[in-house]
Amino acid sequence: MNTALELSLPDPLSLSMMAVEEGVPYLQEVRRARRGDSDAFAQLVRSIQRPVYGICLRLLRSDAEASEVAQEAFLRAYQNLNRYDESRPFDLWVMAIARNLCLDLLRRRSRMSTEDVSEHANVLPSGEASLEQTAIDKQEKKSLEEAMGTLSADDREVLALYYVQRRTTKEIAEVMNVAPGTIMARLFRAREKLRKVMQAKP
Amino acid sequence: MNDKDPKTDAELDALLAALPNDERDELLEEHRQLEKDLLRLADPLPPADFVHQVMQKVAAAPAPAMSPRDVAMAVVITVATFGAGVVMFLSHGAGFEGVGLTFADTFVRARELFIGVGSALETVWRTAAVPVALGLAAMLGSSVLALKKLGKVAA
Repeated sequence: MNTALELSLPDPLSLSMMAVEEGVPYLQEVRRARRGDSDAFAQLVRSIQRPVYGICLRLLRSDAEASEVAQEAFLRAYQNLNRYDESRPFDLWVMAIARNLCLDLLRRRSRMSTEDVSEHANVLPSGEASLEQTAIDKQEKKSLEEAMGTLSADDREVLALYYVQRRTTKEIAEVMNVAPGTIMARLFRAREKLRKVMQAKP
Repeated sequence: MNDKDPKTDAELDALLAALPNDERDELLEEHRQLEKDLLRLADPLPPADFVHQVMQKVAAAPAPAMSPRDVAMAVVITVATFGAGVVMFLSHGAGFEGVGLTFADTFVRARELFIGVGSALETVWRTAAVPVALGLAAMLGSSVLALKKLGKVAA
């Protein structure tokens, strides 16, 4: 049954866009930053700002809050750089910090977001627009983003980490702090909810 | 599927295995189509000045915290220095035997101190048990309340 579960997905391109040094990504930059090299830390921020900001935006659905929380996550990472465990990928560590900050903020929110989801579909552009727009109709993508916006934060997060950021189930488990043996089930549940939302759309 | 959503991958396996073949194939095919669309999505770019803003905050922030190893090392060095100082002070001019005598004397004095304090407490308890008990209860209660309040502030 595992082949059925994996569906037609290729192996996730884990850390494909990351610079890998000494087997662990960003280790040299982290060590330089620890010694007080701010350029090295700026380089780290530049390298992983997109996935960190991306996950914040998926969770919070507000670009201003996502930017603020992502900045705070980087600041906390900097302040705790000496506590960073070098055996873990640096980007996953920062993402876990960002995720916790987002969840704290979501918990503090006294009301559900009343923002127009369709507005957010416009602030979630594709990576390589020219290539993507030929492959998929813009309207379909907007519709999918709208449908994702109706899901819970957990569902949005697991879908974004797996399909958008192409993380492995092990990496997702590390970021979400859950057992790796639950990720495929979480993905399935999220996809199933998304499928039903899409089916219900006119 | 709502009634029994799978919590683990093993439960999902079992759930899918229990479906009739046609139904399962149809469901998986729909999920495949959905996955194709999902894989075309991408993370948005952060604001153009994102890195600049982070580095501004970093520059204004206090220095990074020390690592646990550094803290442990500092504690060990401090304790070792203090210990060495105490030993040097106690053994000053008395040779190594002097240190042993001083330690033995300290234990004897400490025993006397404990006995004295115990005796004092016993006397207080015999003469004013109720006020002492009330005072202790009030202190305990206020400590618990303060801890609860602190917990709420931290949360």
